[in-house]
Amino acid sequence: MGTEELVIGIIEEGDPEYELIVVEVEAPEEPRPEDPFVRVKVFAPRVPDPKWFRFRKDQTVASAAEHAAKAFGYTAGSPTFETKDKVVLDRSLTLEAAGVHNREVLDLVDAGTGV
Amino acid sequence: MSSLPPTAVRAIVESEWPGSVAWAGRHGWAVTLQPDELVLRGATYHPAVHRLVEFVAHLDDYKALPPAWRVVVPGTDDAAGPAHFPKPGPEASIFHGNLVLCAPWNRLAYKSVNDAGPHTDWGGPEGWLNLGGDHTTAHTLGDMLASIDRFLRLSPGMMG
Repeated sequence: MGTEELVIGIIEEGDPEYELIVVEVEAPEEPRPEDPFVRVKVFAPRVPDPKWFRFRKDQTVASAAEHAAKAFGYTAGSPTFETKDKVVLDRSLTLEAAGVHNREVLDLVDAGTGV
Repeated sequence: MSSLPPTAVRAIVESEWPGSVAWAGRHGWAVTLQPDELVLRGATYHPAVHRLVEFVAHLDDYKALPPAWRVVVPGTDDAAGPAHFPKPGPEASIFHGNLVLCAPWNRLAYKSVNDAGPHTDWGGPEGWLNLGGDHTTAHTLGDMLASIDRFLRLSPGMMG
């Protein structure tokens, strides 16, 4: 499948990559260095179930996290992602620069400051 | 001040509870809900010093008002002293020297509610869902637990 027909956003039933990314998540993945997208599984603290998203690798963490936050019903705050190793990603970096990789599991967190 | 019927508060809390439990399970927290008393308890280990830290939220009038979050001596309802209260830092933190969780989503951060509350500049706690600014934002119980967890991981130890 070419990547030219793909768009950023939530990956759900009907998406051309739904079977590959969500259903066959355990299948080994062939490296695709030319692929402009990264697919991530995102958990949010307010709901039990995660959602899958496709983002551009050159998209900022802030932009991707805001997209995901909106899908989970957030309307305020400064969302970012936290990795399984508890690293809170810098919102100003691109996903690629932040080291986000295909099929990574991320948590949505608020990056707001203390007071 | 608002006074919501406990049944209405309980419905809100129970709608948010599954997300909170799932989050806690993924992040090494133990959470319990006492629905009759409208009290949430959450405990975890302080990552830097491996000591148990426990947080209690009184949820009456939620979400007309934010919960009243306190740090307690683990296993009790006694307010935490310095030995049981996380130290702030190195960045701006919700852990305040007044031994208050200082966040717009904590009723006790408001001076109008709590003498030890640092904030007179946020208006009253009834406006907590519409407060702008760069500070921590959390509008559900799961989001509040996640925010506490994030600042706890930055904390270098206990106050005392």
